[in-house]
Amino acid sequence: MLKKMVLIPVLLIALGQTGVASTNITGQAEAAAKDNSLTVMEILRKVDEAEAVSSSRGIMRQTITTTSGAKRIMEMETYSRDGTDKQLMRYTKPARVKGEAILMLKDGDEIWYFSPRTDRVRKLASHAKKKKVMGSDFSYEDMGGGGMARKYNGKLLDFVREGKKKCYHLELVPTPEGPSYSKIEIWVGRDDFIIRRVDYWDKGKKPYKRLIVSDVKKIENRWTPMKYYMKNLKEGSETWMEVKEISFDVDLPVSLFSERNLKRR
Amino acid sequence: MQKMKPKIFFFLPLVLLLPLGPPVSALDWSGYYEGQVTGYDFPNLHSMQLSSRLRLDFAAKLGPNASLTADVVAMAYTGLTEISLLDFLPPKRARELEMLFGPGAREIFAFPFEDSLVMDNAFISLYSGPFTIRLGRQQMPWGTGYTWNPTDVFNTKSLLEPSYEKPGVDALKAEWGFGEANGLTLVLVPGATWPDSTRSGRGKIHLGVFDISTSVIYQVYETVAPLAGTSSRESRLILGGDFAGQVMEWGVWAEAAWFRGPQEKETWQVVAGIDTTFEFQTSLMLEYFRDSAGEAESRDYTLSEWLQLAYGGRKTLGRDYGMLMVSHPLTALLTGTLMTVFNLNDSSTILAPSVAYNFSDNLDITLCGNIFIGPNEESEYGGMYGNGGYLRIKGYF
Repeated sequence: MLKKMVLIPVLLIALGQTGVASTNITGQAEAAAKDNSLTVMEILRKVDEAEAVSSSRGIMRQTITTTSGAKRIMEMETYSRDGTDKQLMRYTKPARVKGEAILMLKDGDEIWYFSPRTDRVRKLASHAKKKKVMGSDFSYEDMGGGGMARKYNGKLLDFVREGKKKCYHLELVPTPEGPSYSKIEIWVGRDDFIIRRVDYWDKGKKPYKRLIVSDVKKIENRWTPMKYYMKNLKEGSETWMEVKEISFDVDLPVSLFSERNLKRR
Repeated sequence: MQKMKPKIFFFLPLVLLLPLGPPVSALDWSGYYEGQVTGYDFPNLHSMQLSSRLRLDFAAKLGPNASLTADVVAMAYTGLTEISLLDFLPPKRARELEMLFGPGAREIFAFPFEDSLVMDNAFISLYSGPFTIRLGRQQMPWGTGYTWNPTDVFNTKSLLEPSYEKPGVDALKAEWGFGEANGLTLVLVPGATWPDSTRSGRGKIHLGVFDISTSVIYQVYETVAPLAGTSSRESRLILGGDFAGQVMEWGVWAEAAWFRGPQEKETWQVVAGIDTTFEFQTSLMLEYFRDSAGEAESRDYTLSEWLQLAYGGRKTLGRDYGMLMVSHPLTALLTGTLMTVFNLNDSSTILAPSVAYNFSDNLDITLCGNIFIGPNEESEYGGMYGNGGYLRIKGYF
């Protein structure tokens, strides 16, 4: 059975791959938040709605800290269109990976990888989504996204604070279309429906990976998380993803998200 | 061991172009240095070699729809700087050569490692909507196979390092791309005349989760007849196809080609592969390759076929091959890989275990062993290749 990508909307936002919270947080979202009778599916739909954005373009900085304390820093340009349907990442630093690019289509269900030194584009099968991206604690499926309501079922555990934020605390299990994780727990802001934290579970009794979102700023009238911290709780490594630049609703041609464009340098 | 001659005249146009071209700020340059110490353990020879490879890459925008891409690759060798084919052939075949050519056979079939300065890429790209034209020396990837590419007439792959960058091909390439991953590619590798030119076309469609292609190639190539000491140009028609996609989360691909060569001789090759990544991050890849022109048993390998293998006239000696590669990230910075290639006809094998360490943002260190195993000296990988290994340090800038 073909499994689809897990969704981490907050990361997608950071990558410029999805929109962020509604531009009008005092509108429908806030009204809904006051109603604690929302079902899990309604909350997930609100999350999906909060992410909706036509297109985005950004620059991301990724800092990996290994268990031995060694750091590796990379930068990439990111582009998205039609929500999370079309995504493109092109590495710009360091020289070792400069020019390498990843094209993800259909919410990350299809991936192509481009190596500039061999000028070869390779199509990656969906199992590659489990792989760590450039040695980081983010996997390809963490980079994908789209359709929380479609890819998860679950239950509302409680109402809690994550940091200073009042959140819904949900436990979600992937549907057959969902990701490879056995389950995730998410903490969703009750007024803006931005995910503040994600715990990832494999088959063990404890979460093995945790994502923390911080530094949420209003950019172009959208609440945009600027920092993402992923901690591998088993191995001890950690990765920061920081948004250096981000623009929404930019004019990006469909042809940008094509295999032939990967080779155009 | 391809003999490379310094080709500094390829470098000159680039040097001349720089002051006349775009402003320096528009010129993007990068590169790497790759130093490698290789140890060889032949039955009659224990030797070492240090090779240095320096590559400088240049790229410049020549306008909104045009760009220049070029590189210069300098190679230098110390230590073992020449080998003789006789050291690699099964003793029986080496004796045959010595009988044919006398005491000078060792020199006649010597392969030198010469310092060189070459360009693997020097091309201009023009874009207009879905159309791209590339003119000049360029990389020419073709087909979906990993270790073997039946439809690829442009490149020779290293069995143990198939994804390493290749020498460039002097060609005119036109591409028309449409949709997400559909397209048509036409390539002309000019010869002295139109009939003496290699022409190829490849059509590709993206269907479901599969990329599917068909290729038609008219190849003009040079064949070497080492025993006669002559070379000649021949041509052949190649019809091929390939696909890459996934089934049940497993990556699957295949590539096949039918060849109609001189004297109407018809042969075919096919490769099929699968790969996956397990939850514990270990990756597994398997490939099977069949060449209808290959021999079913090692005793059928002729001296002529061994020489064709050495001179690039054929990719393999046998008929059926398997490749297995297992890779696992031991830490965030250290990856262990075991690659094996099996000749399924003569039961000989190459084992290539390696570890790759990312020492810093721009520095990789690789330690790799090459172990050849076979039931007898006549088998393809069981003879005289010599076990060995290398330490490679590669720094990017």
